[in-house]
Amino acid sequence: MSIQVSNIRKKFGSFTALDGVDLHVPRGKLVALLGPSGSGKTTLLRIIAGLEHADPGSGKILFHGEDVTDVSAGRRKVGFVFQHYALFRHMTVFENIAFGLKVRSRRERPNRSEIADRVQKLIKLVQLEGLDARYPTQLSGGQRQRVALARALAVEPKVLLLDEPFGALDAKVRKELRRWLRRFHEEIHLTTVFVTHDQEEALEIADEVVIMNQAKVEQVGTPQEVYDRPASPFVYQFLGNVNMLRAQALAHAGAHPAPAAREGSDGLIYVRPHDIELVPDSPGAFGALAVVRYLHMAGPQARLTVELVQTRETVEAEISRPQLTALGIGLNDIVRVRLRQGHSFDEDYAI
Amino acid sequence: MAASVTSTLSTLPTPSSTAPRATHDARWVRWTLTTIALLFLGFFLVLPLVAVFAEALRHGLRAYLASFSDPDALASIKLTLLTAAIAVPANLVFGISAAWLIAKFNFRGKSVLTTLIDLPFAVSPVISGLIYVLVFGLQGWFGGWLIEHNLKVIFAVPGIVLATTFVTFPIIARELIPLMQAQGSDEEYAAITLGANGWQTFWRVTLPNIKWGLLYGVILCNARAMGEFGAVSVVSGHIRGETNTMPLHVEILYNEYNFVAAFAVASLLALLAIVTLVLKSLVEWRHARSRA
Amino acid sequence: MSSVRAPRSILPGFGLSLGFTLTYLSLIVLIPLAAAFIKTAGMSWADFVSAVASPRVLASYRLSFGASLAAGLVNAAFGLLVAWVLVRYSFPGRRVVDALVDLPFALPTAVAGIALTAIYAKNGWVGQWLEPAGIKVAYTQLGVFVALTFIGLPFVVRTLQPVLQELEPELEEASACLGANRWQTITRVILPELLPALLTGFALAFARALGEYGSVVFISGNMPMRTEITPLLIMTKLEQYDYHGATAIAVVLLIASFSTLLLINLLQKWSRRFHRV
Repeated sequence: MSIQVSNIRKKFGSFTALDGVDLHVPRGKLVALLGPSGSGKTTLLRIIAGLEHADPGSGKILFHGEDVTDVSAGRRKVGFVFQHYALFRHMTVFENIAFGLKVRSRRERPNRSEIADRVQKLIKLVQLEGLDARYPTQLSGGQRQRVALARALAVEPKVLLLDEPFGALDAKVRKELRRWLRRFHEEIHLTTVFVTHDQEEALEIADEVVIMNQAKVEQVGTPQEVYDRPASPFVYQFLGNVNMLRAQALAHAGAHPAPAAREGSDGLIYVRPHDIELVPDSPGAFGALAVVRYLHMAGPQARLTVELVQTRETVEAEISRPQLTALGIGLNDIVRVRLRQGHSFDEDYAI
Repeated sequence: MAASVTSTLSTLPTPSSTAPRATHDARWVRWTLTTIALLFLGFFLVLPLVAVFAEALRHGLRAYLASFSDPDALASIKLTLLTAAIAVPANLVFGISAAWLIAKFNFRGKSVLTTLIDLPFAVSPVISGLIYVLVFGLQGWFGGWLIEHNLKVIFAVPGIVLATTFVTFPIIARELIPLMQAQGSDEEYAAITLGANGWQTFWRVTLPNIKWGLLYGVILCNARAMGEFGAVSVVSGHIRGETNTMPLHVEILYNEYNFVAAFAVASLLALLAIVTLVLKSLVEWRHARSRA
Repeated sequence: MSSVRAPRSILPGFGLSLGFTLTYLSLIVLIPLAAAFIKTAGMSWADFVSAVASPRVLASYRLSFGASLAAGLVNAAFGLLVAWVLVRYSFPGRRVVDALVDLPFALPTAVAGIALTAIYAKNGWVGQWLEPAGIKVAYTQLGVFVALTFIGLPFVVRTLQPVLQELEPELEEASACLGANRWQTITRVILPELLPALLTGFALAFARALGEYGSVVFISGNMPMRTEITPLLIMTKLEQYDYHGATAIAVVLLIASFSTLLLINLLQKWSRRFHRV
């Protein structure tokens, strides 16, 4: 089921959480709402779920073309997974998952054995076999997460919404679980929206990334689109490291071929560290002159900090370690800096 | 906020024996302080409690038991049970309603409401009785109307129930509000997204989560309802066998120098207090375990 | 976030619980309490003053406020000690002692009253030792103080306990690392942290003592001008059908109690000031 959000506004007192947000989530996709804290992403998710109401007079939420703005959370057929799981503490894993089925009116409620079957299937699906009699406090964080997911899926939702699904887990479990979620999504193909502030997570598993900032959507696109063609300086900076360099200085030094990254209205060029090319200074070499100030050699990539001679700006560069060895660049060497590619932004125009 | 802290469930962690040395007191300091504290509590708490039973049994078990064959004593026990049986459920319903309102919703005037709920704690028991006399008494607002309809509130059972309800009014609400606030509303939200309606959410999710606090609130409210003296004294009229609750009966017997009988009835109330404290400890223990 | 006029929460029951809570609160508490103030408002100023400021009434204020204050102070000191011992030290029977602290909440005041009187009467367990030393407790102002100490005891302990438990050991460790000795750590680091709770507990014990009736009337002897507390005076006036006089004194006492309540609220706001992160 597709989700259409149009012109949604929400204020908490004087704080604007959502300022006229539009969004389309295509059917069967896994979409990430990505942004810093306070950007409005969780509020948007809760409004889609019906847990929060948009301000009166603002727009609509459509599920598969049908207006659900005034439909209650319980009737929207959404599965919601809470950041801290919100598992019912006094119920076992089995009872938690069965809850949504048991509270149905007698006419719609499956009988006891059907419920048991369905719950067991879900327990298998989320790989928690044998834990059905445990209480939430007896489970690890990752296991709780999967119980919450199974519980949300038990009511056969048309849309799955996850609020910071991996936020409360440690780094290793996080990585495992997000790959698992991706594979899981490929199996069930349920329209899924998840909120995260971790760009790596969003870029790795989402079909589409919605980047939010200050109550607004900054950009929507596939992970590659948003990474390669950021629509704004904010997006550029939010998705990984970036050098912001004064364009004029670089142009004079012949550091970059003009049209690829012309100067924006702010006079800055945005360059990712891996798009910086370094060569040892030699007669006839072009590029801006710089001195190598730091060398970080831990990890597969060598990270260098160089200082431009002319403007004293520092530039971060990343090159592979074999390449560094081949170039023979060391600490305090004089090098030439060139840009493979860069971006610049105009107020009303972005490359 | 008055008296809020006093009744809320607390849990004592065991001080770890491996506590860092910077936070340790010397052995003699610990010994001295512990001894002084225990002496103080011994004098002020243990001694009166023991005295009740010692005085009641002064003339032997037979005299003690004979005190309960007095029909007036039995009538006072019955009236006390009846009063608690009305006041406690009434305050229970109120406590749940107020806690749900205050813990689950944000609205203007919430902090004022919370303070108003605490008011009866700050009112002298004598005044708690007095205000009902002013409303329902002979010269009170509804005095004339009540006489016309041949109804009696003051110096009768309804007045006793009302005064008791007033005095124990905040207890259950005070117990539940912080508990429900601390638990937040995520579980309720989860239940709603899974299709549960309001009642289902309350009965299946909220209530099981607050049951220990609720139980303790009810126990404490019951103990206070059965033991209330000052407020009930004002509205009762002290008619033997009719409007005397147990504490009032204790007073009458005591003033008649019938000490054994007075302390015998008092010993029942003291037992009730002990049971309340034991149950409280059990509830705290369960509560701590369910949180673990 | 901030107060919203009509809460648009998806949880049901706002209207129902608001309606029931307000109705019940009004019927049981607010309207009857208002009766006291309305009754007093109907009195002339001269009548009011003569009711609340006659020598006998003034003597009762002195006793009630004085004994409540003294009992509150003793409870502040010993309550701090008891809370400290219960939270920090481990000794056999600690849980029993902890449970026992609540006894004054659970034990009916009349029972406490006759028990204390029996102990401190001149042939009682304690009285027989004090009497020869010239100390009379039962039927004196000292007796009032003893009863008020008993009923106020749990307040300071129970307000301090959670604060002491949550006090980070790091604070004390930091203080020790910076060279403070144990006494300096306690007086300069721990006590200031405990002060708001200690004051709150004291105020609660004081407010409770001010209105206390049941435990006092048995031990005080109830002599006008000497051992008559204010709530007892209200009772006496009621028994003489002097409703105006009783209500006027009640209003004075209510104003004192409510002021204490207000003070406690301010104290708690003040103490939270430091804990907002």
